[in-house]
Amino acid sequence: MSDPNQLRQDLIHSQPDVYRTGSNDISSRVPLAEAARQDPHAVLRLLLDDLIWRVYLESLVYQEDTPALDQITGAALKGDFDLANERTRLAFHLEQDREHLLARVKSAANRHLLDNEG
Amino acid sequence: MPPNSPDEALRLALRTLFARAYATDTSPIQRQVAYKRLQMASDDTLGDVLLQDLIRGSFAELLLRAALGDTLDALIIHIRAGETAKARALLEQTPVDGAALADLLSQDLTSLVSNARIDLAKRGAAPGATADLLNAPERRTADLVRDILTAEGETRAAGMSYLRQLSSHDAIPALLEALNDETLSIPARLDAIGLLVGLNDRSALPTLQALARNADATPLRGAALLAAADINGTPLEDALHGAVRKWASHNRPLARAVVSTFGDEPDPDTFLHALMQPTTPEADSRLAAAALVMSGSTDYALAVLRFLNHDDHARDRWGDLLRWEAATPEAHITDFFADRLRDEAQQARLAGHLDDSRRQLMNQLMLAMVRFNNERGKQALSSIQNNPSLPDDLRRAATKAIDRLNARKDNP
Repeated sequence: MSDPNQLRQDLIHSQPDVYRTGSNDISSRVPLAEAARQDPHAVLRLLLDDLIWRVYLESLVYQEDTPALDQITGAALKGDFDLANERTRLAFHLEQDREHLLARVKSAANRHLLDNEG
Repeated sequence: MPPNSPDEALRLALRTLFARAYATDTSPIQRQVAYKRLQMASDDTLGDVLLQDLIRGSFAELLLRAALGDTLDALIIHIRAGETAKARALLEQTPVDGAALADLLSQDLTSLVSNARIDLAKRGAAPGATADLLNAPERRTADLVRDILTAEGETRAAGMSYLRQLSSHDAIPALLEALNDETLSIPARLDAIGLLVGLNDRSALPTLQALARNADATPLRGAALLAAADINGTPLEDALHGAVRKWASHNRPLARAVVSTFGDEPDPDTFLHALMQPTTPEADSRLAAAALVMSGSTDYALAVLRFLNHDDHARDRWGDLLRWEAATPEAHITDFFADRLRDEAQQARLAGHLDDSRRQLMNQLMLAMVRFNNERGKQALSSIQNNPSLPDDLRRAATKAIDRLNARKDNP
């Protein structure tokens, strides 16, 4: 059985290479690939965790700003992390209204509570 | 495990707030702590964490799309419906080719990335509130501190980590309130003292000094004395001298022994030996021993441990001392050493090396864990055994200690 903590570290470290278009440095993904050969579902579980988490984060973005998420991902795909960072701040209204972001965190958490408990 | 960086701490806080829906249940205290941490985060840190997690999630989606095909759509439908358990169950039932997934992870993903469609969710505004604690009015910091000091296990560890990050302005009034709360257990009040020492703010001095004079419980008096000395900038030896001066009025042999110990070269072993003499009144030994243990001084902790591990007479005497106040002092003291072992291991990991004094202390602590034979000690040993960043010989020593504990369990 693969070590989930180690797998998570490998996954985290492999991430930047994937998002730098043209990068052929795959060395950081090798441990993850090896783990996938031995226990593919362990790797899939980690990927699912991160996907679930992203869906929840998306729920914090104002509905009218959802297209900004495409811009964020697009910028990251091109390796332009400065632009991606700027778009992230805009999408979450981070510098304009911190209190509303915190309120959205609460509301989103509670909504998921309702979903699960309902 | 405590977070290793501000980013990690914030990520943990965000995930804790979503935890019941996301993966597991959390306690109200944990979520209060998480929310406070979120409030304290800078915009820069918060932005970085949100971006990193969005990117990581997109990466995960790309790979899952490539590995699972249309099954990903069903997974996303479940997630958006809040049915994460169903999503996980579906994933477990889905056959996957490990070699193909490995190949996917091993190849240059540029083409995969450029062709991927990032399907982002559109979520509406959240409906109304629940009776959950998250929506309750913000609680007083003093109440939160009290809850943390009386919590147990991981909740307590997470809460203590949070309290150490509070500013003096927020924390001191709450900690002083806890310190004077006689309904709290002695260990909880001792932890409040420890946190006050960490804040090193002189506004805590009057309360600590009053406690050092008047507290009913001996360990509280000793700890308050040392805490006040520490904040006041008084050397530990001088603080103990102060205590000795008080003892001298009714216990001259002890006072002489202690004062002679703190001559030009303080020798904690000799000091402890004097305390352990059968002729030393137990009440005085208690105060001094509590002071030694609570002082946080490696030298003193090491001296106490040497006696515990190698001197039968001292051990018997210490056993009496441990039965201090009829509450749960023995459990507290053994847990104190187990926590100390964890702390030392953590410090060694962060420092990237293990100096001789820390190595010596950790070896003595591991011996003590075998002697105490309690659950927290076993957990501390396991954390060392399983920590690849610590030296092999130390990990082997932890393994040996665990083996000894297991052998004891098999042959009580």
